Amino acid sequence: MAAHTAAESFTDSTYAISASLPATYDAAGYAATTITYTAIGRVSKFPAIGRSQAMNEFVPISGAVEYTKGAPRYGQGDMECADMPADAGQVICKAASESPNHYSIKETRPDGAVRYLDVMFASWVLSEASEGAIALRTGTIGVCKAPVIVAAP
Amino acid sequence: MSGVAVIRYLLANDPAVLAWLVAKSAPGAAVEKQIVLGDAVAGTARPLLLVSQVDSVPLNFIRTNEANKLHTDRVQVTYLFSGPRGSPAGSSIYSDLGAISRLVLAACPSQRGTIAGVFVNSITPAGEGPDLSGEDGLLSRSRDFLVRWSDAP
Repeated sequence: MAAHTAAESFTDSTYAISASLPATYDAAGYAATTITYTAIGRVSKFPAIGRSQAMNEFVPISGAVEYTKGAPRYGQGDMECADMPADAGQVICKAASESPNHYSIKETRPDGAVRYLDVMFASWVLSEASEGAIALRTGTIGVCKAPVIVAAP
Repeated sequence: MSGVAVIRYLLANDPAVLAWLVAKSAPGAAVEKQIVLGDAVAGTARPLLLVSQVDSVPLNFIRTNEANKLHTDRVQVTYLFSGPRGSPAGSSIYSDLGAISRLVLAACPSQRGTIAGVFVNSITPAGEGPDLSGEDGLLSRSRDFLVRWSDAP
């Protein structure tokens, strides 16, 4: 596989989770053989993740407005998947939601690029029921460190 | 094709539907041949229950090739009669449409399990179609079902 040079969809991206944390928060640390990632089944949505900082504003009585940047945040949001209690990856997600610990998520894009995330899971909620609706699980994840991205080979 | 196979199986094994077809067909007719998949062969005895697929929609996730995908098939059962032209509402031929419609609905209750080799997740009655009449005295009505199925539980 080669890195994409055209627009690419997320279709066929895979998501895996591990309770293990890397010794160093870099590509080598996350790729260590001591970390075993378990695939999360039937993921239908994954939140927008990436660095952002609040733009703080100071308005002086005279002179130009001054801006400073706030603390970086790497994002949080809801990962959604079809509810499968026996899925090994979802079992870990559920445990993560009940744990105070950080977890590691590995996202593999179709072209082979990988993104590692240091996350906390804050929820594991079953969706509202109605006739014909698919039972979905929503897990709120917060990313605590800068994502580690490994470019496609 | 799985949803139509399920509905045809349920209709062809429902005593009430078969008894109704016997009562409305020529003596000695092989009425199970009057429950047809796909297309009606010219000359097939009437009344005829035609079981056909309107569409089949797979439930896709980000990773599209996951095993055991859930499909939702819209299956249409059309009742075809050859009656006298201009059968008015309230006439015997017209009330037959309502009678078989109720029997078909009762023959296909929602259920979970293996039917005709297909693992059925649920069967949901959908809308009932319009009354149509043809130049040759053909009178018809249809009813839809949503059949959700997968390869395994």
